[in-house]
Amino acid sequence: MGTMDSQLTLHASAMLGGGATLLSARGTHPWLATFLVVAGAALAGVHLLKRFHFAWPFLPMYVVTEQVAFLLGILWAAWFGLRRLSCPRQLTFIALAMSSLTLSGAFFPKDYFLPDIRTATPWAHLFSWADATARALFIGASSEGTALLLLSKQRPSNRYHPLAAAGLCLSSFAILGGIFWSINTQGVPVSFSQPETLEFMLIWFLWLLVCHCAHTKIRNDFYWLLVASAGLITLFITIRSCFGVWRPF
Amino acid sequence: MKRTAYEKIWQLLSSINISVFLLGTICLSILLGVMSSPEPRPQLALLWDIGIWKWLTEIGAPKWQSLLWFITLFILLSFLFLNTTCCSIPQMWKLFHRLNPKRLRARAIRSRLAIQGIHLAFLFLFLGYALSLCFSCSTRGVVLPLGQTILVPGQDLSLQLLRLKRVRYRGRLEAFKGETVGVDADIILRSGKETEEKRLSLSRAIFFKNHVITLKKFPNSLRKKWVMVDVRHDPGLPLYLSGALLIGVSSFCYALVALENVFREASA
Repeated sequence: MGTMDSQLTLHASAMLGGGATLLSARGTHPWLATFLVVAGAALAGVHLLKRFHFAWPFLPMYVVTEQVAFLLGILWAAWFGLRRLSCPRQLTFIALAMSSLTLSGAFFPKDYFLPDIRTATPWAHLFSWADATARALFIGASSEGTALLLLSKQRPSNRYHPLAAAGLCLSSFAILGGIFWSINTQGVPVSFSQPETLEFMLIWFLWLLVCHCAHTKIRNDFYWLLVASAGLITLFITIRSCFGVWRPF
Repeated sequence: MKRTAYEKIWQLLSSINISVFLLGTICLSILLGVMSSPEPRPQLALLWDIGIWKWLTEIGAPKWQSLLWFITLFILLSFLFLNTTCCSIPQMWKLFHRLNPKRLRARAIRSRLAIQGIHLAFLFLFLGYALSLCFSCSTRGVVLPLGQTILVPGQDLSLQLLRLKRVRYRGRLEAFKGETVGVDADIILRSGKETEEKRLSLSRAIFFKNHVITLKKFPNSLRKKWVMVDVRHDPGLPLYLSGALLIGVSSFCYALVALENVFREASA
């Protein structure tokens, strides 16, 4: 694989994300900022395509940050396009998340060349994509929470968030894929000893907490604060999983 | 109307506030696990081999301080199981009693059905894991030479390796080209009067009468004809696999209803 040019694609994607963050934070040129995010996602997509093409029929390792960055851009284009850009400031959080995800993917050293030979199964691919899409949806939901918390004085009383609900659905598909993958390759349904499993469980239970809180009498401010924090934790955990062999925490 | 003590306890156990509290503390305990030192974590892999009681007394106890987060997590999950049972079973009962094809067209009913399906799947998963953690037994590293029948120690199962086919690397990595990356092993399984022939590969286990057989090692050269397998008798297997399927199907149904909502909202 042209690792170098693939890494450059990732650097370029991070820079586009950074540009989109600055533009959207200033609140000027929303369409240009959107274009930068979509272009950054497209570059992350090119990088992903190269890595998947190279590792096929196995899964490339430590790829979740790039997957989430790519899916965040696609999500922004689809979701906010559908809602006719109702709150362009949310793009700041999406772009910031995208940029930090791609930057961490480009920065931390990883084993690009060794494929995991136990991943040549559709269950592993289902787990990988469903988990990454769920994380992107959660960060997307949280961007709305953060925007509401920081930029708006009014918090909506309707706490049903389609992105969080969709994220939980995708997480459930990841559970299905993960259990079948694990039982077929390791002989056990879940490996508590693997940090990736614990991180996945943390994100799942955290968003279950958010969804259950929506049905309680908790104050609106606290609820949206919880949504924003859950998204930040999801982002942090995702970036942390990309650290590879170098794990300071 | 005055409520009885039984009703009060039931209401407390099925309260959503309790669910929120339990989910919050579960998150905290997993966060502690994620942030804690990874050194004692390999001990957790033994959980599935020796069962939770033996693990708690022999392995967990000496290292209980570093694995406290896991013990807390297990206790909290048990309470969450109780809470979900108390909360969901009466609701499911009501829902199924009132269910008819006409009502099924209503999005709210379909959404509630899917949500209850997810709750039921959690109950299945937890029960399956609990059964598995309490009563499963494993035999690791059973070597099967070609043609010989091997009785798995401690289990009512015998295995015979019938055929072995090499799987070569067919990807794009130059260094791996032509290398053996797996084997397809045809194995005859016998337990009591039942006999079956099944194929085992690196990413496909054999399921036979609550036994899970996975490929552990294989020779790089086909001149040596043997495979090493792990055998686990797991009574929780049907429950957690049903739970996994149910969570997938229920989530798919819920996603369909949610998508319907999104498109309706967008077109309005």
